[in-house]
Amino acid sequence: MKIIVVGAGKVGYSLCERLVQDDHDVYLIDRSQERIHNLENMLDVSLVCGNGSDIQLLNEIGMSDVGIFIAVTDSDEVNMLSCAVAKIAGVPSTVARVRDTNIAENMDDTMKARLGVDLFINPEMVTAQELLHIIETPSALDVEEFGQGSVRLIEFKINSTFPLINKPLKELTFPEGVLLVGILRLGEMIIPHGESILLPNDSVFFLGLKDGVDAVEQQWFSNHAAFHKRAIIIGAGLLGRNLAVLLEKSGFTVKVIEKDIERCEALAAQVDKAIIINGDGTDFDLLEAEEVADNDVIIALTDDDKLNLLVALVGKHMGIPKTVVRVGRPEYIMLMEQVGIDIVFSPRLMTAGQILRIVRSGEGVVSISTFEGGKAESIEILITDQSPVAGKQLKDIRLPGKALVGVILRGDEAIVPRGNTEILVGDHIVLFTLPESVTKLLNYLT
Amino acid sequence: MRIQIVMSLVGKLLYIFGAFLLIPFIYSIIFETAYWSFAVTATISGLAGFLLVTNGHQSKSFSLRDGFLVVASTWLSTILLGSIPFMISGILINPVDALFEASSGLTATGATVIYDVDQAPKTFILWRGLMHWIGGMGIIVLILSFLRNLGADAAHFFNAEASVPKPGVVLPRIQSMASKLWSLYVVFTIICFIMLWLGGIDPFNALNYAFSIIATGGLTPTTAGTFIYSDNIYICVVFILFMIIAGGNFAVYYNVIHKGFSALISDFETRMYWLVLALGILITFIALCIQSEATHIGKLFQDAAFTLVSIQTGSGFAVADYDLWPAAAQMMLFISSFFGGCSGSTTGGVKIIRLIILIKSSIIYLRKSIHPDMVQVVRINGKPLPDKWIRMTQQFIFLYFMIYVISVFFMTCFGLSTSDALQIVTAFQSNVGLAFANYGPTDTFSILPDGAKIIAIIDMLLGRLELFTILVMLHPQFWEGYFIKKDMTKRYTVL
Repeated sequence: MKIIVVGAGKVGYSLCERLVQDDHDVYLIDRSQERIHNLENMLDVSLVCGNGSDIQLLNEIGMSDVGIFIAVTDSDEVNMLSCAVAKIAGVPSTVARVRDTNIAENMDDTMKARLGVDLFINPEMVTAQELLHIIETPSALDVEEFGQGSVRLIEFKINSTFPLINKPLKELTFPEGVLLVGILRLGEMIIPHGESILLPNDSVFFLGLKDGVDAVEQQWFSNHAAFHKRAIIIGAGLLGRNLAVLLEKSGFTVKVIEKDIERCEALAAQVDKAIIINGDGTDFDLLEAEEVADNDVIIALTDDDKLNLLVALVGKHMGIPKTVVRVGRPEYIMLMEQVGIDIVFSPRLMTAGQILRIVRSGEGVVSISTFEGGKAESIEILITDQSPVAGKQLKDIRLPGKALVGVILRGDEAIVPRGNTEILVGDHIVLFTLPESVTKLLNYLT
Repeated sequence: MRIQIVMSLVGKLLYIFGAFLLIPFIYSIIFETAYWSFAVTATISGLAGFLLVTNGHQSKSFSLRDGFLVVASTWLSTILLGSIPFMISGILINPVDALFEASSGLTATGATVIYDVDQAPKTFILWRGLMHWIGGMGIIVLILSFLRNLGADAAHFFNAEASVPKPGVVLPRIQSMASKLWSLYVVFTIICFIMLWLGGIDPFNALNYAFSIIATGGLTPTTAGTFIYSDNIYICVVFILFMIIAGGNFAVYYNVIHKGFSALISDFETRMYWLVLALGILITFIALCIQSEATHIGKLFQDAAFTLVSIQTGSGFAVADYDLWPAAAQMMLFISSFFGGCSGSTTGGVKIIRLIILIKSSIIYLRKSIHPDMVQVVRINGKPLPDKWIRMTQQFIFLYFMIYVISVFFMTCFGLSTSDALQIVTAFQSNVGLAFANYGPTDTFSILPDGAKIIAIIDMLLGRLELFTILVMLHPQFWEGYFIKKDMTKRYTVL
């Protein structure tokens, strides 16, 4: 598919990288000659220097066969305008990154349609919502939901005292309706089979019905008794503020430490109960005075990767059970996880992932989530009558690449498939797979 | 001289007030013997206005202090003019009494020195009601809706008359807002009048009561007052309902027209106002129940509701002699008389919004003593309130109670007992007009010494104009440059 991306910032770059992986023809437009120049040898895309709202420029690229138009510059207004122009030029689907929550929330569908923006994405808000899911499940490293929340995928960390280590999976029994779909070992994703064993420091992925997955958590990973819904956030940028508001709404006791007084005041205008401290998050005295050690989770969200790591390590040292760190450079993710940070995430990868889902959703894909910085993905696919698997039993299906069928959503019902389960037209199937297999899988299934 | 700008505007306001003075005169010609005192006063008002306008200088550019001065001098001169008919006609020979009655009328306090209202001519009863009604929403707000093209600086006058934080500007132009507020005020008055009339009150009394209720005044057209309705549930409910309405924010009511009743429910101050009223009624009712035999629970509740609403909104009607009530119930009434209604209402007192701001900022202050570097802002209706407003509110409360204490002291100097002094100063400063014991629901203020009456007049005016407007003039710098001789016609204005 021909795709136009406007804005060659961090998000634009990561997005193009992923789109190229998926075999799309990408045109990346940016106003800055310098930025275009810098990207020349790094991306296999057509780089265009100019204004994304300029109709002449767009016509030169040729708009008739463009499948999707994505505007991710720093400016909400530029993004919306570019989409509007692209829509007039005949692009069927437009996506604008808009970070001002009010703009998108206060607009209904007809207004969006008239404006020419099909989809607003607010990365800071979506990221905050994903973080909220993870923080709310204390023992989980990641949580994803499918089928309006009836199906869950949760990632856990295995420690050396875990009772089921060093045993082949075929000897283990998990609660009804739950599959162990992936093992992440030393940065390598393994799709498990009967002979696989669990080792300390593995991350494991369970996919299944919500009750079953929650039972797994209760049985082997839970520390709910020690969980008092107390969170501390370092850094009140847009993401920090969104997260603080969401956490407060879900009943957390929230404390926020931020150096910049204006950011403090911006947050103070949004919350009632949260305690906002104007101070330095690396100041030990301040952290002790604010009784940081009593929190269940520390979330470091400043713009400085090194500072985030340091603060999280200090928190870990003080005894906070769960540490969450934001990194700007995705290459740090593995490094930080190795020194003991529980959850490391890169907002720009998350944003790129969110947009990728939208790009793919045109092809019968309902939703896509990525894990561990793109090491594994889960896909929810709608089965149409053209699909070769429709009407077949699961044991007769040979999926290309590495993949596991976790759950089948049929109407309001969620089914955990067995070998003789038949896949019907209209089913949504949730697959757990590796990124390199995604394109092959999608081509096969749809 | 800069003062000429103020003179010109005050002169125009006096024209309009003169026109209002003609209303009772016309009434007297038609229904009673002609009371020329009103015609004379109207002439004085018009003449004074003429002198001020001709010697003044018309301008569209007003400073903040011009606003304060216009508002204060308008109120002072209207009180003065309002008292003249009482003096000339001999109804109240003592000038202090006449001034007291006029300020009680215009500030919608509702305290009276006329012992037997039934003996007074109806024209004067009408004039008292009319003064309530004009002063209730605010003379300036009224006149702003008459005078056109005052320019953008008209906001200064609006703010000087009621310095309460406003909930989101309803209309872009302050003058169109003033006329919208007044039309709402008129509509409420008419509805109230019709409902009272339907309840069997004769039209003249019904109109006067309507004026008095919507202005949260308290003057009654008869000596017996509202006591005769104590067994009439319909009349009591109409009174309670409209007193509560008058205590709400008229700007919020205007929003209701456009956005439906959700605008009312979603306003935090309105919700708190209802809550405070409900709690007050409940506490008073319980206190009453404990004392008396529980034979007329319904009647007790009706009395408690009527009296508490009447006292808290600063109306000052009574259907029961609460001097006979238990001390706890009396104390509840006394406390609620400080509260008042919402911002943008016709009530006096501290006002609910200020209580909310202070309680919220106190909580923040307490939290800050545990977390010294904490950042938190007071939020009203989900929107952050600027620090400036909080400081102003804190200052207001301090000044309010400082003036309260000083007034109480002076009252005792004029021979009042401490308890009387404490109670009546509240009645004046919160524009309730009804106190306890010697100055309770069955008594008048005619027995007050003249000196105490003067203190009362000052307190009523300070309370009505919410302190700052009057107090700001006590600072010498306020007057700086007003009287420097200068040809105003050569003054350059940016506009």
